Amino acid sequence: MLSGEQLLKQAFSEVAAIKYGQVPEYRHIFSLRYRIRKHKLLRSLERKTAPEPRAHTGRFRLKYLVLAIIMACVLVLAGVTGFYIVNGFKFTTKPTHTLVLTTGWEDAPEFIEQRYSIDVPEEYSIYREETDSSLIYFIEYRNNDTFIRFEQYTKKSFNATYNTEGYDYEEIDDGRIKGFYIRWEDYGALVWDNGDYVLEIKSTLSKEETIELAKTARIR
Amino acid sequence: MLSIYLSMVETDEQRTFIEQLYKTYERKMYGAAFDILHNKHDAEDAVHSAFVRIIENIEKIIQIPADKQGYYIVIISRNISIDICRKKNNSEMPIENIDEIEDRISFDDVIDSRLTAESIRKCIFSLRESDFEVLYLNLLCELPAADIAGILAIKPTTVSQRIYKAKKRLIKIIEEQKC
Repeated sequence: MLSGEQLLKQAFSEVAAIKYGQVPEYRHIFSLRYRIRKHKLLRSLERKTAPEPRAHTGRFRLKYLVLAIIMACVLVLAGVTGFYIVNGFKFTTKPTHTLVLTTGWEDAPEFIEQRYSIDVPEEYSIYREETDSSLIYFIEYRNNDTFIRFEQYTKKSFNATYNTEGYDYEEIDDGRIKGFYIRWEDYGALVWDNGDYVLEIKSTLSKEETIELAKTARIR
Repeated sequence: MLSIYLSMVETDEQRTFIEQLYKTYERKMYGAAFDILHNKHDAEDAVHSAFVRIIENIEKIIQIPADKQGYYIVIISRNISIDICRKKNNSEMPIENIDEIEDRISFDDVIDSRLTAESIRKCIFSLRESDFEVLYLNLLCELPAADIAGILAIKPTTVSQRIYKAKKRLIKIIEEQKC
């Protein structure tokens, strides 16, 4: 047998569940300003909760340094991996793929503050547009079996992996577009650094057409 | 200012908890805020401020059972929205400077066999929203006035007074229901 207080609590719980169900959930897309503030808040929590680095003695540090150098030499000599920098991108090659990062993002915006767009041919229409966070934005256009996908990253967040098993990338520098291009069987990717952001076009278009398209990139 | 709040988030468990709250309740909080403010930007500000306040009170909120968290967080969002609304309209909160109230009200004597579960729910639905919220936090979430004061950003004495008045009003409604 429930007491009066317990009956009341049960009733409160049931009423709260009904009231909670009545609170609307709008299909709202949160603004960039909100997302930046949210991101900063969560990132601050990460910094706060990051584990303290372990204090190593000089002997330990030297041991790990020597070990790291030996391993790096072995791997490079074996042709397993290596890295080099082209047009501000750092390429780390693996047997089947290549990791690409940017270098020197200190002066670049931490978040996407201004979105870029490109002038796609008229026959293409927007297929989807998404932003995962205030760090990445992409828009995809389609025309039957062909597509153009334009992506924008903050320089710090750009971290891409490309299939380079049997394919290679080439350096692009025509004065305006400075980056690299890689072509697979069906489509290619042009990646360049415009100073503030890393922009990328993945498309079924030819390399030349993609470069021409890249030149139309401007702030929306 | 923010760093003061964030200094209270000490563990990975708490950080994960905050991320989970964002995933689960962000839209609901926005819905509650928008219904009061009728403005997207203000509603987003309210949601953000609510999360800052949640972080400020993380130690208390993390103790709330999961099934009670949803409405609890909606209450925070609603109250912040009401504050924003008041500030925009330049209306001041009434100054309540009343001494701590010794709350000895028990519902065991009030709720008897004449009342069905349905009739109790009906009485609770008759409460004004602010009374319902403060009793929800006090009776169901079992939070003392000082903790509720932290969540609603008001004085503990004001919370005590609100709880007392809300209980009185609920008892009056229940007594009327019995007749």
